[in-house]
Amino acid sequence: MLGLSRPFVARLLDHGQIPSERLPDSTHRVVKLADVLAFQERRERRREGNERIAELIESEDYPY
Amino acid sequence: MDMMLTLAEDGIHEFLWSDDLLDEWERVIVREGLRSAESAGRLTSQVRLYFAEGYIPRHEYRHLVRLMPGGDPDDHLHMAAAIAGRADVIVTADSRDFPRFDLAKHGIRVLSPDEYLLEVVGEVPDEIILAVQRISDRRQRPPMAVEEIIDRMSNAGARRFAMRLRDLLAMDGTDPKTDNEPSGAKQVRWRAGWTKPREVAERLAHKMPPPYRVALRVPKHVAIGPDAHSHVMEALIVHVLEAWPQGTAITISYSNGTYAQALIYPPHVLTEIGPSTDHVMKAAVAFEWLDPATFTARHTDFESQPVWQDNPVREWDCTIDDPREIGLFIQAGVQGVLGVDVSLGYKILIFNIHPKYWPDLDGSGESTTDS
Repeated sequence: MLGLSRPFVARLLDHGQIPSERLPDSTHRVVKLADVLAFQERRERRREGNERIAELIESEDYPY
Repeated sequence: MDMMLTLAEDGIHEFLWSDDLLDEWERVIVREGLRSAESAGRLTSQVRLYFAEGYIPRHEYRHLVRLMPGGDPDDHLHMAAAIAGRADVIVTADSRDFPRFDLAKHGIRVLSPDEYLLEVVGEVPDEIILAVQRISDRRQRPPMAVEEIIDRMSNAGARRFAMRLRDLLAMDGTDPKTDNEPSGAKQVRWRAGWTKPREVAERLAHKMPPPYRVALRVPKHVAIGPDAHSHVMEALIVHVLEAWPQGTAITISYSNGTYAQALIYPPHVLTEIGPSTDHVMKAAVAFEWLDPATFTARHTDFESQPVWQDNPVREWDCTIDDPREIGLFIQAGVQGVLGVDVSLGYKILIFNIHPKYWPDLDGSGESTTDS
């Protein structure tokens, strides 16, 4: 759904960027759909921000 | 900053900022003639808008500012903000202005951009390459190829990181993880692949530290005997300490299944070691870091042992700062304590001593790092 690699998603869960809970006696984890969507939304917003910044840099005659 | 913001997109890290930080950034680029004041203000207003989660308001850290160590009042603001924002790392080109030891007490490490990026690319190489690709895609007027972006970062001081990126791009997707784990590594499930001996030799020649987590296998015919062993270790340790000034643990495994570990700290770092093993303790005794008279029982967990709590080396104030001496320590630990023959061939596993970097011993997830 996120198009990210499995180890990287594990890292996001470990760091709490996407909240998750471990099932008892299991190595599997449960995440809420809303949390994943919130992460995705934040990700898209930040991409948009960096695109805006790149546009600003290009639209002015200064080197970055 | 471009790179730092791009890495924040996918949550590789969180970018923390304060008004003081962005104001100073504006002042610096205007002073250096890189942008007009208006232009710099437009850029930082985008950061404020799109990276609002990373904002640390001044009232949260104002009371800490006067408590900060070091000489530069501007940096006091940033240190206080980092503490209030519970940062893991301060990334700065002027690391001398940020007292590492004082900040370590707050769980904050001070790294140069090069050191920081090198660490991150060791952890999530694929994601870093994608991020650089995105930076390239966004630069259309004039277009900027990935190689050019890497060159720019290299010129801006991230030289070793740039080298690592070029290595990764040159590898062209070959997967080094298919090699078999040797029996000696069973205690720890290493996820890192082998680093090719040739690559290690190149790194040492360029005075580059190995990537964050390295498994190095030296074929028998390359290094034979204690002299070759200590030579390799000396060279490695110098680079390891450069890369991780907080301290490092090294595990050496031999092809007959035995292994030894060593804890490496620069002399100025006072620290506690995390969960450790009997072998570390034996090695520490072998080098007189630890007095064997203070313990008799076999330990599997340093932290829970009363003797360890009372032992002065818990405050690790050793005077070993000579790489040759550290090399001899490891040699002594391996040959004297474990009684193994270094000519059997060996591999070296290196990992950061910071608890956050310890491998997952039960194998239930990935080891974690800064965010």
